[in-house]
Amino acid sequence: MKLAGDYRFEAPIADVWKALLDPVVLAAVMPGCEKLELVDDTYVGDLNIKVGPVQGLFHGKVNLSDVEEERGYTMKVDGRGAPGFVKATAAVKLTPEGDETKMEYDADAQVGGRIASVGQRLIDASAKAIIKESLEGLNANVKARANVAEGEVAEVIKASQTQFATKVAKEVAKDLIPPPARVALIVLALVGVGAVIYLLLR
Amino acid sequence: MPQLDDRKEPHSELAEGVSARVPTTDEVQIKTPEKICGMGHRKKRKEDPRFIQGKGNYVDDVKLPGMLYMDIVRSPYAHAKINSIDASAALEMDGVLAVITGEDLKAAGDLHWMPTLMSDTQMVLPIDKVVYYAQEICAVIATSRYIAADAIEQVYVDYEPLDAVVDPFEAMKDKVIVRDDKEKKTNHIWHWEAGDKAATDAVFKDAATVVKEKLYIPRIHVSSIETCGMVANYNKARSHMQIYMTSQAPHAHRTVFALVSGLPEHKIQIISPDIGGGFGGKVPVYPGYVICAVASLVTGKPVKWIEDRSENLQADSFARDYHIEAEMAADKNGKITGLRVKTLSDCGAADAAANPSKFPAGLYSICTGSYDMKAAHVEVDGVYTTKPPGGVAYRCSFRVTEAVHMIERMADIMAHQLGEDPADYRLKNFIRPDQFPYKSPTGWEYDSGNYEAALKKAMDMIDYRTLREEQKQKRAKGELMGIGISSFTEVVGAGPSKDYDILGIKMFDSAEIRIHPTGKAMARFGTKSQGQGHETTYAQIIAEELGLPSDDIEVEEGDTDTAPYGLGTYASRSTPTAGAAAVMASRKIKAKAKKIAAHLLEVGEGDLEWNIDRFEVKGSPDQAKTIQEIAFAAYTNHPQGMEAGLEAVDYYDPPNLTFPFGSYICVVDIDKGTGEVAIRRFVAVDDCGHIINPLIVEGQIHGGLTMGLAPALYEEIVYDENGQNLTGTLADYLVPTAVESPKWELGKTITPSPHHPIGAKGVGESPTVGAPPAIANAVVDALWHLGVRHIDIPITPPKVWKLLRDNGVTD
Repeated sequence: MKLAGDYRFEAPIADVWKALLDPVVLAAVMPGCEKLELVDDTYVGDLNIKVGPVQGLFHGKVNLSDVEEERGYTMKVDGRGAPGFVKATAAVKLTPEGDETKMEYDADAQVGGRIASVGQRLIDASAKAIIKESLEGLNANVKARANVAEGEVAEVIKASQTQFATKVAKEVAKDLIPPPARVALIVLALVGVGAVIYLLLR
Repeated sequence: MPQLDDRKEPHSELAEGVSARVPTTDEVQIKTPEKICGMGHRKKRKEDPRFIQGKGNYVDDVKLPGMLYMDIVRSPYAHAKINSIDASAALEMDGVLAVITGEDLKAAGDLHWMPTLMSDTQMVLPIDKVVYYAQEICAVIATSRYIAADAIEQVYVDYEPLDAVVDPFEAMKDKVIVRDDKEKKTNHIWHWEAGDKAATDAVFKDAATVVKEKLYIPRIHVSSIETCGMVANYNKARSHMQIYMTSQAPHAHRTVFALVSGLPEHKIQIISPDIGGGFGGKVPVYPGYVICAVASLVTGKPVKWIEDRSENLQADSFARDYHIEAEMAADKNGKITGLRVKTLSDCGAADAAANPSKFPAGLYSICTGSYDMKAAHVEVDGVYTTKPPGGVAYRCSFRVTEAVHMIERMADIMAHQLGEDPADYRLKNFIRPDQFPYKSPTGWEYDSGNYEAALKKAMDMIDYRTLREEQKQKRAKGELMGIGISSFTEVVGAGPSKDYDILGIKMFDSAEIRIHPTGKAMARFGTKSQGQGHETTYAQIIAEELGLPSDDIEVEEGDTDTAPYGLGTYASRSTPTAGAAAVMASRKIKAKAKKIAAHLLEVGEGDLEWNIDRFEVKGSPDQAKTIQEIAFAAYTNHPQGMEAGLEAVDYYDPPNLTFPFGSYICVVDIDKGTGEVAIRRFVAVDDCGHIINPLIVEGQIHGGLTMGLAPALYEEIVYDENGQNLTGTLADYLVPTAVESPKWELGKTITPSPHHPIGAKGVGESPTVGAPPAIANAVVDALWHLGVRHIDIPITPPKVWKLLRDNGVTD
């Protein structure tokens, strides 16, 4: 599975770089992350992943290589758990754009086990949603830190599982339904849900 | 290669009066009145009241006191070394009693390996490496199904991934060795040939036209409604193992269990209760069965194991997976003269096919089909890949589906190539009725057939010539309509013991009939119904022979403690073997009944004649004794010196296989925008010899056609390049339902088998075998004028759409 894209952080490159290496921030912004520690040069952690009907705890290791200060790195992910395994290599590149920072990522992931065979149709959408949610969370944290007065410590903004679920649903809808129909379907779905709630409350 | 001519026929006296060139009719014979309901009556199935009321008794319905539950940890990798298995967290959970690993099985007497039905070996649980995705790693035994399912998530297995080899052509290069446990470090398992190579090459040299095609018959799964499962109940005090098991062949499985485990065979009882579909998938012994039995031995308690749907789809035996290269030769008149076939059989990680042991490629050499030709040569190579083992016959007789698909596609390609109408081309090339018994170029002796009659009937039913006219007009308007024909010959009823066995056990089958004093009967068989309706069919056969009302006959199968030994139900063998045994046992009973009747009527046996349900004194039909009166006398007033009772057993060894056949015609319309194939009409004319119950035969054909539609348009097990199964749920592995099924229009001809005692041939699988090429031929027929020569099944909308786009029909 190939995952590539870019993202614009509303913060200077130095702040983004610092956050990108901070296990506390990373743990907070990754949906389902229960633990993330830096042990020697390796980030070790537990990630609770839910893909469609399959969910479970992945124990993972993340190694950074080709690290170029404030420019980028290559990330190797090796996650295993009862629902299967994830193996990925991602190239992350940062470039300054005025006060902002552009991130480009290009990842090649291999997913196996139950999570792939049962959750196959939802893997793409889930992976995209995990990345999007993480980057948005990271952006929020970087911005919060920039706005904190000297000497104070910024509170870490945590990811919400509900938001994540909504994003997965949106990604799935994007994959399956063409844009004009999507709006109509969402309206229909809302009307439907409204009608059910009305009937239940009546 | 089978040599069928010099066989001594054990039941050849039965064939008396029935010439091999049997006439074809289309009327079902009915000799018995409604109240007796023998052969030919449309009797509703005796088993249905319990099924439609939800009162069936399947393995998962078995609940024993103190029963434990098993769940299995499965590999997420197709090929990996196992460094360690850490089950400590699982064992700490409340309700978890044991975790069984390969090491445990090894310690219990090398039970970590088992033989396959093809005398290969297969891991029960691995010690050091896994060779396919979803392979069993270890099993958790717990006090509830839920705890077992939670506990398997707590077993940590440290794998070291190895390169997978998914493509069998790559596997043949031996870069990745799947089975490094073997002495020879190669993935090539066997090479097999049939037919005459030199004669075939000569025919091709002289050919006026040769057509060639590569066909892939994809890996598919039977996906029966009921998954596999077992309840093993070891009684330490009695040293007795009672096993409830989803088994199509309980006796053969008992023998295998005895040989593998070392338990004495009389201390093993296998009960195959109601079975929710087998289709070949419940013939093999799966690792889960062995582990479950060991778990009961170890704990001394009943242990239940039931697969979930994904386990069933991913790990149980697959079917097909044949990569075929075929060539057909024709002379200057368009007459087919020869066939040359090379095939690669992807066996997965073990050769666990369910074939008779002499036939590594099953009955694939039947591939000259319904056509008379001079020579044929078939080569097949088996190869290991890092995929689940198997090679079961998905509702067919040992690879006959692959053979039929190939020959029917090739005949169609040849007809199109020569510019001949595919129906007329078949009529020109069929084996003629006067050629039976027909000796095929690969050594088979076809018992009887009338292929012309079946095809002509199908053509009449569908109004073939008018459809061709319509197709012409539609094509002129740019619409895509196709007509496909399949005139298949099946080969079922294995089989003559000379050639057919499972692990050395000959493929006879058996019937035991006991008539009670009040004229009611109990009949037990070595076969096992999985939905075929044996309780009804067998009772009708006995009713026909003995005149007992079929409602007065209780049919029982599946309990190895009570049923006579038999090889089970698959390959459409029940009627050809056990059905024949029912006839033979009935005739033994009738012979004794005649003696009792002569005694009661005080006449000589020679003065008596049989009339439906009684012996009458010739010329004086008022003087008669019914079978019920005779049965009562057998226990109350039997002749001096004669044994009391009225019962008989028969083990029937058929003199030959039976060769049912049929002609199917399918009409399709193709949506140019989406590539979707819509089946407009499907006419199926089947000839299965004498019909025992037309209602059941029609039901079998409906089900079989739907299971033929399945691989033609929908089903395929797909793997990615790492051997990861991508079709592990019924959302991805598409099984057709009533919604997708067209209206099946059925017709029949009746050409009895000359060697079967009631002229029956077997029918359950013919439609699954015959339907896919009819559909594929129809689709190619619709697209031939665009330059399309072949499409591999399943013919999905994306495949057709791509062809339409490539040929400029759509954009």
